[in-house]
Amino acid sequence: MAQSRRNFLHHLHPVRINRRTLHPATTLGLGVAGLTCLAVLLLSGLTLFLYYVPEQAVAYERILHITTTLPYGRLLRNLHYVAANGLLILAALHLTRVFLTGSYKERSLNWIYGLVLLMLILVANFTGYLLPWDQISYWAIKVGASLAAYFPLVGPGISRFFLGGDQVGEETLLRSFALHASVLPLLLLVFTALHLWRIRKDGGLAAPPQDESQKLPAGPWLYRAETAVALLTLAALIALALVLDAPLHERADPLHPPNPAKAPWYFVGFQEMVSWSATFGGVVAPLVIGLFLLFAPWFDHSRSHPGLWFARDRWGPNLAFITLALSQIAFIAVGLWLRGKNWQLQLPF
Amino acid sequence: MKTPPDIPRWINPLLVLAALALLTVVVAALALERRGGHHPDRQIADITVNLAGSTVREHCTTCHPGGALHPAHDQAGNDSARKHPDIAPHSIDTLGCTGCHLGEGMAMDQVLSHGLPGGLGARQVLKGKQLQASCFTCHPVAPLAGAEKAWQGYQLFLSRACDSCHHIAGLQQGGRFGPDLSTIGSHLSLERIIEAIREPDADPVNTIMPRYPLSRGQTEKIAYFLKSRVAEPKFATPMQIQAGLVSLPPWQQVLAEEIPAEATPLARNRCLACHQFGETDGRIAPDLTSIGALRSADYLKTYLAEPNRLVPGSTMPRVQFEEAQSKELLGFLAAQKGELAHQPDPKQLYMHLCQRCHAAAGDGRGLIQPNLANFPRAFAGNAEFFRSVPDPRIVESVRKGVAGTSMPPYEYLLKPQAIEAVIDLIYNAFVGVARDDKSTFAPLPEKPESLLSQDETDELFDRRCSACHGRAGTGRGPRHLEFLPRPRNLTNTPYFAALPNGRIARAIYDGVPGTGMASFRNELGAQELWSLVYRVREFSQTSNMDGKR
Repeated sequence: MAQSRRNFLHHLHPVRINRRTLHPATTLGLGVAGLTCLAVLLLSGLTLFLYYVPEQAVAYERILHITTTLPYGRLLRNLHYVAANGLLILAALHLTRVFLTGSYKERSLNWIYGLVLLMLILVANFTGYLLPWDQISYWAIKVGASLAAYFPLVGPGISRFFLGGDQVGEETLLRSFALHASVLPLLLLVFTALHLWRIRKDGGLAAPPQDESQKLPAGPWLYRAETAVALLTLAALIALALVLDAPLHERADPLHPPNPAKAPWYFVGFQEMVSWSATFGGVVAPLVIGLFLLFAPWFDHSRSHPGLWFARDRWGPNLAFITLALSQIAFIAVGLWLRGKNWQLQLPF
Repeated sequence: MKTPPDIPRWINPLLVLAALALLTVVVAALALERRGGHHPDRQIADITVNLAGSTVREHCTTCHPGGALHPAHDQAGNDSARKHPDIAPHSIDTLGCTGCHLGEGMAMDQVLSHGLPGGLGARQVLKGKQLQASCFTCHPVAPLAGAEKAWQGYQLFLSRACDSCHHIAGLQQGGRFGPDLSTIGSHLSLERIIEAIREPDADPVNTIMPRYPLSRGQTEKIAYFLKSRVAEPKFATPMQIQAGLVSLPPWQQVLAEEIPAEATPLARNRCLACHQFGETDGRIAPDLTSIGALRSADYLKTYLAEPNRLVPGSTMPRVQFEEAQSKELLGFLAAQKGELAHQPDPKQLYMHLCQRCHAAAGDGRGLIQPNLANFPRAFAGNAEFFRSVPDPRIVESVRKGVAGTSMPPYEYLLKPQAIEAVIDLIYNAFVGVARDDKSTFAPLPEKPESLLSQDETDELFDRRCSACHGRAGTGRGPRHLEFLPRPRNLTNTPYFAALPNGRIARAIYDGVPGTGMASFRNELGAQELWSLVYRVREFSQTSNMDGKR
């Protein structure tokens, strides 16, 4: 019977899986949840695509049209917003899970694909941030681009390429839109496909060797579990989209920066670090984080089996990762909630 | 025999649960968002107009049929209140709504379409009498029916001499002292403009814009005019603006017949918008009634040309005068000797000459104190200061004035006995200690043979002094706003030129009572103290150093 129902999904999944693959604590369903976000993003993005115009004079009005006049337009935009931020958070959590279980062992290629995906998600989020062309997005992009310029050698070039000049302007809007709506979705799809394909090539989820007797057929259990996670994620996204409104402030005014002007939340941690020290926050810290993540599979010489949470002989890398993650979260929290006018420390209430 | 692993039992219930949850949420979303109603079952009224060459699309008439009030907001309940006033020859069909009323025409949500509250509010809806803020975006600035207040606002703008600090495109000349207001209407809401005029120091806190004595109504009028200064005036092409074809009527023409017959050059040059002269009082700047007696012609000439040279930090803008104009003005000022009654009562003298800055309560917070570069000395509650200053110095301050500040030399106006009487009055009424009650100070450390090197002195200054006095010594360090009197501007050349080294050293060594300047006696050695004195000399570029480094 299984033979007759063979379809594309069977190629993505192994025939038989470990029983522990299905256990909720193994993966926490983060990968599938992220995949669902990506699907929602592509669908809602394609719809928004039909109504948006990347031009300074009308971009803001098109967003007003989408949110207030278009039937279900507000829901659609909120869904895109919630899914975009959800994807970023889920991707970061997924990365955390893979690191803390040491699942990158002997899968360094897929680990790299994952990092590329994370970068792509960040850039996609950043480029999408500008499109409403309101006060907050305009100045956040301005801050973000100048943060990039702190990086020696390549930084000013990247910033210039992204801005299409020295200022956030017409060119920046066009470039953001082109990247956001064509280049990045394509790259995201390609790398997601590679990411999934590598899991299959590497023999399913990373796990300690197991008795053949503990294996289950993938169908229907794995499919059902994945579907359940996907449906739950979708339900959560729609519920959040009903409650959370995607922010829309006043039209962008290049002459009047809000005080303080903050980068998008995922870069506020870097902004906070740069406010302490430009060299450390703008160059050293991003470099250390980047290199640490990039070369983790090669530095990790522990002998424990992959797929186990908090393996004893991996306390060193785990501790380093947790420290980095917590410090980044702390920097984001301080920058986001504790910084007031002129970047002064203040209480959030 | 292999034992088959258990089938996970939780998967099926979870799948069912997830499907149910999704179903619920989708149904809720479809229902809520359908009724979430920004446009309940109404056809969207989409109008597109051509406003000065740019296409404007808006949905305003969906909720305001025919330009009328939304039926739900029409509390009067009568049809007349719902109708848009007759504005012929304007018509909604050709001009649309947002050209004059602003707001966001594409939004159908009340909050968004009326312009978001808070923030800059550039697009906040103008309604009722506020609408005249839009008239002069198209019409030339001239008396216009319906825009009376905006026109009066322009007259006020000129008569209060706002243009001597702020530039506005279309005026023949304008100051560059304050921000350019040529396009302010495109950036700020009426409310924000009014707030900026009424409470200039609300944001930014270190502004030097004075708080003008304007009524709420007058401020509104000026704001109506300013709101019409937009980046893209609708019926003037950029080329017309560039060529100066779009001009504002100059000051003289506006109030030509209203200048009184005994018009003084002060009134004609709008000095009295800020200064006092006799009965007329701008309530911003010092009294000019006796200025001819107090200040030399040279002083006045230099001050008019470069206010900051004589009183560093002065908020007086540099006014552009033609040669004849300035000659007439200076001649007029020099002729004003002021009139004082013979042997007037010291109380009258104080109220006449001192209280404008030092306040009737003697606390230094006089009427024009916020606009002065230096805080007037407080008398009340400042006994420690007066005990620390030898009597001759106080007499000298009144007689010779204080160089580098607005304190004029009164010896040219008052007889020595009158000055003595005023000082006695100040001691009795405010200071609260006897004139001869002076504290004694430990002698200053001797100036050592060698001082610290330049780098060491700079480092010492940055560490000890720059938080208040600033790294450049301008008195605007990061903490300068915490203190009133503000930290001394160390680059005030005229002030420090008149100061002997000993007094600078004394101020550092023992502090200055009644100010934020603390005593550094226990923290500085002789070498450090005297190095800082010389650092101050360098900042102020005063050369009466009696020794080289």
